[in-house]
Amino acid sequence: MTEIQLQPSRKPHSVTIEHPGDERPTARAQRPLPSFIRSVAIPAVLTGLAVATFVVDTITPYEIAAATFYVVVVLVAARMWPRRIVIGVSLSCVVLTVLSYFLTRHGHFGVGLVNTAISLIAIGATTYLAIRMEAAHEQAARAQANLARVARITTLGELAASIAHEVKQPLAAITTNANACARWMAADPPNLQRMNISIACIVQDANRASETLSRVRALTRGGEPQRTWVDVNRLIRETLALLEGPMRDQQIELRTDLSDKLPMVHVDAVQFQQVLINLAVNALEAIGEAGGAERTIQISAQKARGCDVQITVEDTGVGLDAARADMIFDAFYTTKPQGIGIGLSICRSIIEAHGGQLMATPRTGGGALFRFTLPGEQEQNS
Amino acid sequence: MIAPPEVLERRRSLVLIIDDDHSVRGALVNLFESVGLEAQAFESVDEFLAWPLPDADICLVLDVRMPGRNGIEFQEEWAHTHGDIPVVMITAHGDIPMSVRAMKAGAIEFLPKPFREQDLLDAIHAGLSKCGIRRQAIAADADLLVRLASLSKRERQVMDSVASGLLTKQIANDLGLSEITVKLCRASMMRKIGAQSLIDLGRICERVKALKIQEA
Repeated sequence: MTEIQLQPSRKPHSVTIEHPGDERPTARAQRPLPSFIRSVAIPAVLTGLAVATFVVDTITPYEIAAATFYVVVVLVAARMWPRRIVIGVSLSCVVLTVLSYFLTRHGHFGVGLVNTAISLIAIGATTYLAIRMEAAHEQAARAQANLARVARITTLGELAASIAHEVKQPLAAITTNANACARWMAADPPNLQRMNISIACIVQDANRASETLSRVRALTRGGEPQRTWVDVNRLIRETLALLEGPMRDQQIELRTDLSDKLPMVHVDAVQFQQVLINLAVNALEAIGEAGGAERTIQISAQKARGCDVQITVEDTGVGLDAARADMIFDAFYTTKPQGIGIGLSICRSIIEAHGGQLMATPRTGGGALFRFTLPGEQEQNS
Repeated sequence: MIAPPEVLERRRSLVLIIDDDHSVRGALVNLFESVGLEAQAFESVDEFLAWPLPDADICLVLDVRMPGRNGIEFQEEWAHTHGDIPVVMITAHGDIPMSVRAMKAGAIEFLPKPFREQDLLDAIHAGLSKCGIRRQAIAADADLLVRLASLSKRERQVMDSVASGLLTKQIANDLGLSEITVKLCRASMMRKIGAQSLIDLGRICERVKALKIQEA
C-alpha cells in the first residue's frame, strides 16, 4: 500500500472538492484561454471591427451595405459572452448602423433605406440564431452533466460497502473511546489525563467520519460543472482514499508515481474524480476477474508534451484486445453482466470537454493501460 | 489436576490486537487499559508475528479485513499452530458465512463493528480465563512428566500395578519382592507423583496414558 490514508489530522472539516484560493476565472471555452486574451484582446478586436465597419459604412455610398459586417461582431460575441452582453453588442451594432445611415453623404437615399433595413434584419436574425445555438449548447452540456452525475452515483453505489466501512471504523473507535472515557471517569480517583486523551481521539475520529461523508457528498453534487485550478496530485490522493477499502478487500497493491513538478490543471474536481474512480474501479474489477497472482494497480501522473499533464492507470487484470480497445468507449458497450456501458463513454466526453484525450491500450505484460491528458497551466503563469 | 503454586499466582493477562485501522487500534487499547488489562496493538499480521509472545494469558483480537493477509485466513493458520490462544474476531462488515468460518476455525466470539463494549470485554475475559485454564493444564502436564521421570524403575512398576487394581500381596508376588518393600515403594511413589489417594493415582495414570498416546 502507499502512504495514502484518510488522515484526520491533515485537515479537519475540509470539504475537499472546494478549493478556496483558486479564484481564477473559469473559462467557457474548451482550452482555458489566457485571461489577457479573454478580457482585453478580444473586446479590443471586436470594438475595432465595429468601428471599422461603422467608418466604411459611413464613407461608402448608400448602395454598399457594409453594415452586414456587424454580423461577424455579433457571432464572435455570442461565442464568448453570455446572452445579456450579446444582446447589448447587437443593439450597439443596430445603433451604429442607423447612425451611419444618417451620416452617409453619397448615394441614393431610397436604396440606402432598403440596405439599412436588410442589415438590421441580418443583425437581428444572427443575434437570435446565435443566442438559440448557445442555449442549445448549454442545454446539451447540462444534460451531459446530469448523465455524468447519474454515472457517478452508480459508481458510488458500487463503492457503498467500502464507504460504509470507512465510516464504520471511526464510529467504532468513537464508541469504544467513549466507553473507555466513562470508565476512566468512574475510576477512583478519575484519571483526567486518560479522559482528555480519549476525548481528543473521539473528536479526531468524528472529524474523520465527517470528512469521508463530505467526500461522498461532494461526488453526488448536482448542478453545473465548475472548473478551478487544482493540484492534480492532491486530487488523485483524495480520490484514492475512497478506494482504499475495496483495494484492501481484494488484496490489491496500489502503487502511485506522482511527479511533484506538475503544473496546475483547470478541471472540475468532481468530474476529474469521477474519471479516476471509474478507471480505478474498472481496474479493480479486471483484476478480480483475472484472479491472477499479480494484483497491482499503478497510478501515475507525469508531465507530458507542452504543459499537459498525463495520468495513467495500469492494472494487471484481464486486459483488452487491441482491436477492442476503442470500442470500450462507445456508449452502451459493456463487458460486465450488470453494466450499462456508459461509464467509459462519459469519462471520455468529460476528458474531451476539458480539452484532453482518453485512450486505452493493452499493457505490456498483461492487463490494461488507460491514459488521459489534461491541459496544464502555462509555465509563465505559475 | 494439580498445578504448581507458582503458576497459580501472579499470572499476567495480555490482550493483543491486530487491526490495520489506526483509530480502532488506539481506541481498543484505551478501552482495555481502562478496565485494567494490559494491551498491545499491531498494525499487521507480519508485525504481530515478528513480536515474541510473552509468557502470559493471551487473548487475541483480530480484525477480519486487513491488507496483506486476510484476518480469517490468518486465524485458521494460527489455530493450527497456537490452538491454546483464543481469538476474538471483529469486523466492520461481517456476514453469516464469514462468521461461520471464523467460529469453525475456533474463534470464541465474532463481533460486528460497532460492537457493544461489554460484549467485547466479556469475550476477552472468557478468552483470557480459557487461555489461563489451558496454560495451567499444560503446565500441570509438564509437571506430571517431570514427576514421572523422577520415579525409579521399580516405583514405576509398582505404580502401574496399583493403578490396575492389584493388591500389595499380588504385586509382591508378581515382582518377586517382599510385601514390606512393595509398601515402602508405593509410599515413595505416591509422594513423588503427588497423589493423595488411590483415586488420585488412577486419574494421574489415565492422564499419563493420554499424554503417551499424544506423544506417539
